[in-house]
Amino acid sequence: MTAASIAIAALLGLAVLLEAVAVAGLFALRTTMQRLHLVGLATCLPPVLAGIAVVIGTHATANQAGKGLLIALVLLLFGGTLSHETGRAAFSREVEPR
Amino acid sequence: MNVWYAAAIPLLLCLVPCVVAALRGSTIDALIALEIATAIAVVVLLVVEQAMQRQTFFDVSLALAVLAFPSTLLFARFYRRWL
Repeated sequence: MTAASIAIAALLGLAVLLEAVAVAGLFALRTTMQRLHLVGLATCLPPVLAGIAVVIGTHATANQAGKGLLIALVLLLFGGTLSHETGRAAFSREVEPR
Repeated sequence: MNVWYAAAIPLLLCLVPCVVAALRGSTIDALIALEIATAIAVVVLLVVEQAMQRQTFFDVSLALAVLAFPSTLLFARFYRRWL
């Protein structure tokens, strides 16, 4: 077992663990504002970890590595915006219920 | 079974509670569950591509990551103004 395969297994295991924590939080947390934090947890770290695992994977060519990092970057950038906009929607509904 | 498949299976199982939360919760909770499910699906496609060595899955996951952003954003704005 090489150092690269150990690193890939560790990165993927951490990504799976974080996604599982985010999913479990959907049922464990009570309010919508609390659950909103899970969006950031699910969209920011696990895709980056999986992208790094793809980059250091033995079969990853330069093209694959670039696309893996691009996907991670897209989710990293958009995740914060999405959670912010969802929070605005939830907050405005709480302030002005219809 | 390699490490990529071993990571893909629990990630796929993580989609099931998201569907349950989307079906049972309020509209905004369903939107949160949808956002989490999208992130999981993108990671699943990344991992499955490495497991099966099919480069087309990269393009699918990239398209999903890019297209999920405006669709969820539009729905959040629609929800805030009209729903």
